[in-house]
Amino acid sequence: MLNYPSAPFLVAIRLTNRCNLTCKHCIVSSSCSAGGELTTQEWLSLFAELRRIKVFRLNLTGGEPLFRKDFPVLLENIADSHFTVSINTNGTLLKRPLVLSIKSMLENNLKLRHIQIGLDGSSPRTHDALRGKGTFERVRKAVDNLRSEGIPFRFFCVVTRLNIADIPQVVHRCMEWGGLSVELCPLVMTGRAGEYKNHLALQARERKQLLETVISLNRDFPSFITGSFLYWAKILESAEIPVPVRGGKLQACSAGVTVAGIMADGSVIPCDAMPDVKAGNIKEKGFSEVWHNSPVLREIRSLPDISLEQIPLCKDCSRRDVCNAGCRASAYYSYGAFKYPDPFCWIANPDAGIKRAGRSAGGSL
Amino acid sequence: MRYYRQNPEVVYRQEGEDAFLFHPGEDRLYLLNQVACYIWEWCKEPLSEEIIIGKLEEVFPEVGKESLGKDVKSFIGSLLKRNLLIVNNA
Repeated sequence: MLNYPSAPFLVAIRLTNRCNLTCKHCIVSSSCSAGGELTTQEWLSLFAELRRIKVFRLNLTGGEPLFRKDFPVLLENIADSHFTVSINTNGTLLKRPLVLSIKSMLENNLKLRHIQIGLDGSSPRTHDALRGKGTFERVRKAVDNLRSEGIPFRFFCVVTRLNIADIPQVVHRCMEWGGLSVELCPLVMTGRAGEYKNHLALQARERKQLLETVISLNRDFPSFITGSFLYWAKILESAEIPVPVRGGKLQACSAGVTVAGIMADGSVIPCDAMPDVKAGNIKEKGFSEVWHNSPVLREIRSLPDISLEQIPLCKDCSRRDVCNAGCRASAYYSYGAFKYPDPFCWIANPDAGIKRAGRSAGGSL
Repeated sequence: MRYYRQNPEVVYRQEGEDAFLFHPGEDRLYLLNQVACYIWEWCKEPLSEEIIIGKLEEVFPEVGKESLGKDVKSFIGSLLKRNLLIVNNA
């Protein structure tokens, strides 16, 4: 087998860059007016190719994927094939007629893994501060609609300075509302999130405090919390508890190996969290051709060969042997290059703030 | 006599000598080794355990029938448990 499979297992599809909200932590700066996206026919052609090369799973995201008027047509097409699908949404457009339409597809042939809804606060005070006035209430109604029809859903929550104190309550709210789980996500500092990073990014002491919270919540509700903070919690605990040695190399992450993304304009990206790391465009070349021949993807696939001894901010770290330097997308958007540690690391990135040590984001790898 | 064949819902993707099986209804992915790939491919048509063992004997004559039989039984059992194969009763 090659060092990457013949096709990704999962492709994240950014159906649109448009969104009815303008969330502060949005990594693609979505708004109502963004344009230049693939047509219905172009998406259907892409789905046909992904079906032919046997991609297994799709994740429909945006922008707000439900903002597209042809969303039911696209979902119907996906339902007619082998794909399993998840849908990432802010929840505000999950009104009853759409929920009933999804339910009807589910009763026929739609293989829905879950609908994933953004919930950034346990109350309007925190949630609306990040996502806009009235959005918490609209999410609550969406949850009611999904629950009444028995459609599986889970939550995701981007942790920032505006909601860090509320995280235990958010987790409780997600349980109370019947979610399958909640993914606690780090802020990726690009798009609008990059513009607001001084207000949103956690300081080192807050990052450590968050991990202590995550450790405690994970102890109380095993398996309910997902996301990369569980990894960082293990690194934090590694000072006292022995953890398996990871070889001290850069993270062998799924980006460009088992996962890929397609932007609304047809650009192929290594993962959903790298919106401007463009490997090619399906309007110029087929997805397969980009997948096998893109120098960008080739370089990303080679990152796990790099020892942390070669990373200046990691080479002298006492936890180097149990760490893999975290998320490559987060490193890229904070330092301008992949060969840096994840800025979430409180050791490599102490409270002095984040320095752009490399080239600007969107530049060379 | 029990005959086994591929569950038509399952997606098979060859990767070099190995392969992935993906069961969309259960959203589960499995990796098959080379020998398992042979058996999977043969089960496009309904086959009995005896026929599968016979075919494997042709490919691996150096391995004893008893050992092949044990492996085939165990492999078929695990595919059935995961709804990857279905049974046709003759």
